[in-house]
Amino acid sequence: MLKWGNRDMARRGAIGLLVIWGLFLLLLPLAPGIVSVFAEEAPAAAANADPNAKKDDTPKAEVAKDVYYKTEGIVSGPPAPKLKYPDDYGRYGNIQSRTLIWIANQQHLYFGSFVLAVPMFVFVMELVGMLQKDKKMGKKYDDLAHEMMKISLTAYSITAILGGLLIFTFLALYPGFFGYLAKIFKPIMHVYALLFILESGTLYVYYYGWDRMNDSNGLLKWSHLSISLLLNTIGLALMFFANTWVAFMQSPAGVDEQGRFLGNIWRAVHTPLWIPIVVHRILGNAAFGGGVVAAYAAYRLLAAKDSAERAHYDWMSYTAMFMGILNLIPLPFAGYWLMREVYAYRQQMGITLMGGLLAWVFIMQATMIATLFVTTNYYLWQAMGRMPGGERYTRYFKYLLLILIVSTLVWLTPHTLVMSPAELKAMGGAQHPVVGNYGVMSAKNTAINTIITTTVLCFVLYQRCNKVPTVKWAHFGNIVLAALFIGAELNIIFLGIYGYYIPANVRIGLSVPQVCSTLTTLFVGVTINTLMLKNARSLGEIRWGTLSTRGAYALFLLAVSFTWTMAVMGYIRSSVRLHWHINEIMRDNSPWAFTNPIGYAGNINSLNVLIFWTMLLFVFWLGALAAKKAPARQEVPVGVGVGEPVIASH
Amino acid sequence: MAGETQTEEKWGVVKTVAVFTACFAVAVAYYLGLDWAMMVPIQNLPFPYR
Repeated sequence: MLKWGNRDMARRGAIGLLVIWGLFLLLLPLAPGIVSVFAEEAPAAAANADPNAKKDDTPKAEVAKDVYYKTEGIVSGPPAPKLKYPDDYGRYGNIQSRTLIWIANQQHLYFGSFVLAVPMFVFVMELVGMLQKDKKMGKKYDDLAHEMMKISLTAYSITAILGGLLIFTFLALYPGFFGYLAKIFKPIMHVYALLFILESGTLYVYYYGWDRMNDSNGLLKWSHLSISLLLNTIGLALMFFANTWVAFMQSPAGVDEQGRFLGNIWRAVHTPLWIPIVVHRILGNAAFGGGVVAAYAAYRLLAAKDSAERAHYDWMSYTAMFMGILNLIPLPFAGYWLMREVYAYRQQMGITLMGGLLAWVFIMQATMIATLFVTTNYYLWQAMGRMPGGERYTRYFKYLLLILIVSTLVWLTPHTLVMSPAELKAMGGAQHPVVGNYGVMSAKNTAINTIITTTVLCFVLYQRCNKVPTVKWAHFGNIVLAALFIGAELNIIFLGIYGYYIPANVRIGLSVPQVCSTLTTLFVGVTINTLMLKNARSLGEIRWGTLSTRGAYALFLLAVSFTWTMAVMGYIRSSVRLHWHINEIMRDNSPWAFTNPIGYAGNINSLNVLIFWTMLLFVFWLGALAAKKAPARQEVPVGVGVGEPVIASH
Repeated sequence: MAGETQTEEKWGVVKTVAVFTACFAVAVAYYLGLDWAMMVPIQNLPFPYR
């Protein structure tokens, strides 16, 4: 019989709950399939019946071939309409409808990403808090999780409002396109809407039941955690579903070449780019969310009135940034996988992206990625300034910065330059004889892997910043770490140079060992470092609250860079469809079926960033307004931290 | 980092260089093996290319 005071039983019961939820959620993706079984299929068979057939003849269902999977299916829907302007499009005055849908879509995506990411962090924070042996530390993590959740609460409502705005914008400005999409994806759209209701209910129970269910790691607390897991799973499911439409537009499947649905909703859902987009978005959203929360905490740090508040927000900003960066590091690899799948799906689309029309937009993206990584490293150097013992590593920063700058220059270098015919002639060709060599993937992969390896090294230094290893094999461990990092970097450079001498179809495979070298430094390097720091002698507590103002501004830059990067990547994804609403299926016949000039795109991206941050500042203000009490105040002298989180102590 | 650790014996330059060379050789062997494994069996691409 369950005893309420028996923690073991409570834990087992909660684990049981988690398992049940987990099974439920694993079955959830079947929902669209189940719905589609009962969904009314278009009477294609009857429509195709031969009117001259004898009455007792059964009209044969028309069969067609899937445009991607090449399997045959029964035609179950009308062909994609050939849209006409202005009949099938809406317009407000002289404003480009494409720009309006762009803004509506991007704002919804920003807030959707934010409310997807924050519960992930909150789940981790709550779990870490529950697993802490030190109750005081556990409460700190729990309070941090609660505070992070509070920040995102208003954002949920805004996400839903923007979703409604997006749908109305589609209906008003692109009714022909949206009607076709809705015909195919109607089961998904309904499940999507129902999941929103479930998510809202779960969210409110989770947030408002926080204190009520906090029974010191008893059954209620574990149940609360399982609600968090449910909330996250619903959020991810929503993203999975939303990505089906985006992926279908870019790489349609489940329809024939006329756009007629072939009855299998799973085929329409499981398009070739669906999962790569999902993986890239999960990591991107988590990185973005971490950056935004870190920026919020950085602002509260700068505006703090006393040392306890400063210490709290300094710690919060570090924790959020850490979780964001953890997702930023594998993000380029997910992006590269997505690109490889794009090339595998349609080589021409890949060339348009990186070697043709959108090549310079990718240079803009490269600038943003470089900004993100350099800023991350800069923040870590500033953060080391508040750790006793950090001065030992200050002399290495300039070498790390040199590596980052050189890698960034290679990373940014375009393959072709915008030149006049006279300049082309003077240069002797479309590519510069020296710099042009850095404009190809061999150099780019080498550069980004170097940047990421350097960031990992910086983090390893941060881990050991205020510690002195006391294990007997510490010197040997340092030698192993040096060999690991130097070996990885030499291997990355070797593969980069080697790639110039082999055919392209072999060269693209070299990115995998390059990535694995970088990941080796991350997993093996951090593990060795962590083992070396067991029972290490501390040189002093981290002086939370004494982060330099420059460090806080670095977090602002990080958050805005994340936002701008998302804007430019969204622009790229939409533009690569060129004059298609749905690639090779439904043509865009509006007056705006052209690729925007890069300057215009940059301006709209910046406008989107501005709108988002204005709305987000309102969200933060509301969160601060609703605060019932300030963070736990302790009478501590300025410069002394109030506690050291487990993460930073490793 | 020299002088940082307290409890283990100090290594001389020769020993440090020798151990580093050995570790570096192991690292190079690991990375080249990784290159081969990621190219040949995983992606069915030649490494080294001939």
